[in-house]
Amino acid sequence: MTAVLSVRDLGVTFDTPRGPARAVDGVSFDLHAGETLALVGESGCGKTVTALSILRLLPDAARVAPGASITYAGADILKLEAEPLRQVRGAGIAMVFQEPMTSLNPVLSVGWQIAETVLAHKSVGRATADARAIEVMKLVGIADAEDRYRAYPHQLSGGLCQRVMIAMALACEPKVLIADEPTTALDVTIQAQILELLVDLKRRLGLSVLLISHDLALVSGVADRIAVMYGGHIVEEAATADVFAKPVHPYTEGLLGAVPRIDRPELRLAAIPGNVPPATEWPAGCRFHPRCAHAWDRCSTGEPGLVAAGANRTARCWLIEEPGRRKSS
Amino acid sequence: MTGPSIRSSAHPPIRPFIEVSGLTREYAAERAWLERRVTFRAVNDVSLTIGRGETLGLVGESGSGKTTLGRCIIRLIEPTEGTIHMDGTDVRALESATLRQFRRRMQIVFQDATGALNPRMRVGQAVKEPIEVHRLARGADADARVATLFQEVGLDPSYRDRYPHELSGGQRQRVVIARALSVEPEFIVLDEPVSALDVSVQAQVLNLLGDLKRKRGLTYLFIAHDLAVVRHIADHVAVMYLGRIVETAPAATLYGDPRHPYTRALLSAVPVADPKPGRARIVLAGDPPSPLKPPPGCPFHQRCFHPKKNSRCATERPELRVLDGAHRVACHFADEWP
Repeated sequence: MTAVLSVRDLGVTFDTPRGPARAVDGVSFDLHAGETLALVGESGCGKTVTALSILRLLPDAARVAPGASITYAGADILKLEAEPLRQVRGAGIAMVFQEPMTSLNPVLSVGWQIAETVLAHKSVGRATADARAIEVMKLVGIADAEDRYRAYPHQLSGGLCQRVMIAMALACEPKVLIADEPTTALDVTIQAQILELLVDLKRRLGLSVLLISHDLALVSGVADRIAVMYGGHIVEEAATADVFAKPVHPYTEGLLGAVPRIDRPELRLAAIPGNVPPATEWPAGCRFHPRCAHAWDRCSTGEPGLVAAGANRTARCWLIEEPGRRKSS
Repeated sequence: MTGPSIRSSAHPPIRPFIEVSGLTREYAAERAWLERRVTFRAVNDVSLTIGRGETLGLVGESGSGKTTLGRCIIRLIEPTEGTIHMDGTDVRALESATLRQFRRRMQIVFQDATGALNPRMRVGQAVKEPIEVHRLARGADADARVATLFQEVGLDPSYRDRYPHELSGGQRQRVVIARALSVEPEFIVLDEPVSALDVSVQAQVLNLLGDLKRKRGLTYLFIAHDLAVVRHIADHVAVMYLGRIVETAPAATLYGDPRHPYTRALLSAVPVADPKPGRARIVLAGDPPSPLKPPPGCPFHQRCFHPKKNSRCATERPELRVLDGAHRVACHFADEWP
C-alpha cells in the first residue's frame, strides 16, 4: 500500500497564560490510498489540531515543531509557498467541518459558494463552474440540485447543509478528504444518511479519507484503521477489527468500556476515573497513568514510545514490554 | 421497577406518580408583517405516566418537542392545554406561592452545565442558595449539607470555593446535579444531561445518576437523543416525533421488539461499537417535516418504509393504541410487520 499522506513527528504548541500547551506531540501516521483512517479521541486530545495542521489552517499563535513534516505528492506541506499550498488545498486535500451551518456563508446561495470554490482553483468560466456545482450537488444526493443552487443556508436543513459542504469539498476532485466530526451536529437518522454518503463517495471516487471523531461506535462501521489519541499522542493504532477485538492500550480499553451500547445494556458502564488534564499540565511519564488501572511506578517516571504491539499495530504503553503487569478485570 | 407505567382502566387503584394527560403547547410561528398569525404545536396531545422510582426515557430528534414537554411538566413552560399530576397534586392548578413551595419536589438538570451556573458565584454557594431559599437549613447547617452533597455526587468538598471555570465539564455537571438534589426533590427532569460530555466522563455521570436514583428513590424523566444512553438508564421509553408520542413501552420491549417504523429506523441508525458487519441499517430518506406544516394523516408517512403502507396513512392519523400491556404504538400496521 502506498501512502498518499505521511505525517511525521508532528508537534503543535500554543502559548497560553498558563504556559505552553503541547496540543499535539510526536504524531506520525500514514494515510494509505483508498483507505479510511479514523483519528479518535476525546476533546483536547489533539485530533482536530492534527487535522488543521495538515492544511496549514492553524491559528497564528500555534507553533509547529521544527522537525515535523507532512508529505503529500512528494512535497512537504509545511514548507510550501502560498501558491502551491493553495493548489494542495481543495484540489489535493479538502476538508469538511463539523458545523455546516456556521461554515457556510449565510448571505450567499449555496450553489454559488460551491461554484466560487471551482473558480478559485480552476481556470474555467462562470458557466462551467455553475455546471460543476450542480454536478457535485447531484453527486452528494441533493434532489432538485438546479433549484437548490439558489437556496441560502438558512433555507436548508442541517443534513442538506452538510451535503453542500461535502459537495464543496469534492468540487475540485481532491484525492484526500479530511472529515472533522462530519455528523456530530446532526440527528441520528440524518447522521446515518451522511455516513452512508461518505462511504459511497469514497468508493466511487477512490478517495482516501481521514475521519476525525470522538465516537468509537460511529467509526467502527466506516474506518479501515483507527488511531486513538490521548494527551496529544497517538496511543494506539491498528486495524479497526483488531482495536475492537483486543485493545492494547488501557485508554482504548477504557473508551470501549465507557461507550453505552444499545445491544448490551449492562447496568453499570466501565467509566474511566478522573478527567483529561489540560495540555499545559501533562503528567510526567505516560500521560494516561493517573487514570490507568494498570499503572505502576515505571509509568509515572518514563514516557513509553509508540512501539510494535503485534502484527500491523502499534501502541504507546509499558505493558507491551511487561505484559505480566496487566491486571485482569 | 413498579410494574407497567401505562395502566389499563381495569386496574385504577393507585395513581401513577407522574400523570400527564392531553398536554399541548402551542407557539406562534415567526411571521412577516401583516402575515396571518399561525400557530404550531410543539407538543401535541401527549399523555404519559411515570411510576414512583422509575425512569422514563424520552427520545426523539431535534424539533420533536421532547425538551418542551419536559419543561411543561415542571411548569417552566406553561402548557396550552392538558393536565399534569404529581403524586396526586394538580400541578397546573398551583398558584405562585404554592407552586414555589412545590418546586422543591421537582427539579431539572440541563445539558449545558456551564450556562446553568453563574460564572461569578463559587460553586459551593450555587448549591447552598436553594437550601437557604427554601429554608431547609441555615449557616453552618447549610454548609454541612453542601459538603455532604458534594461527596454524594463524587466531588471533593474542597471544590466548594472554586468558580465554574476552574472545573471540568463533568465536574460542573456534578455541581448542577448536587444543586438539584439540594432541595431533596422526588422528581428530576434530566434534559440531555450527558450529551455535552466526553464519553469517559459521560459514563461516570450516567453511573452517578443511576446510583442516586436507587439510593434516594428518585423518579426521572430522562430526555435524550442518544438511544444507547437511554438504554442504560430507562425503565420505560417513549419515542416522540413531531410533537407526539409515536411509541412507548418498557425499555426491553421497545429495544427488543419496536413496532413503529420510526422507532425501527432510529434504532437501526444508532452506531454500535462493533465492526462486525451483518446489521441491516434502515436509512430514512429526507428530513423530518416541519412542525409548522405537519403532513395530513400519519406524521411519519412520507418517510415510512412499512411494506403495508397505503393511502390510509396519508389521510387518517393513527391513534396511540395499546398493542400489548404497556406497549402502545401509533401506527395502523404496528402488528403487521413481515
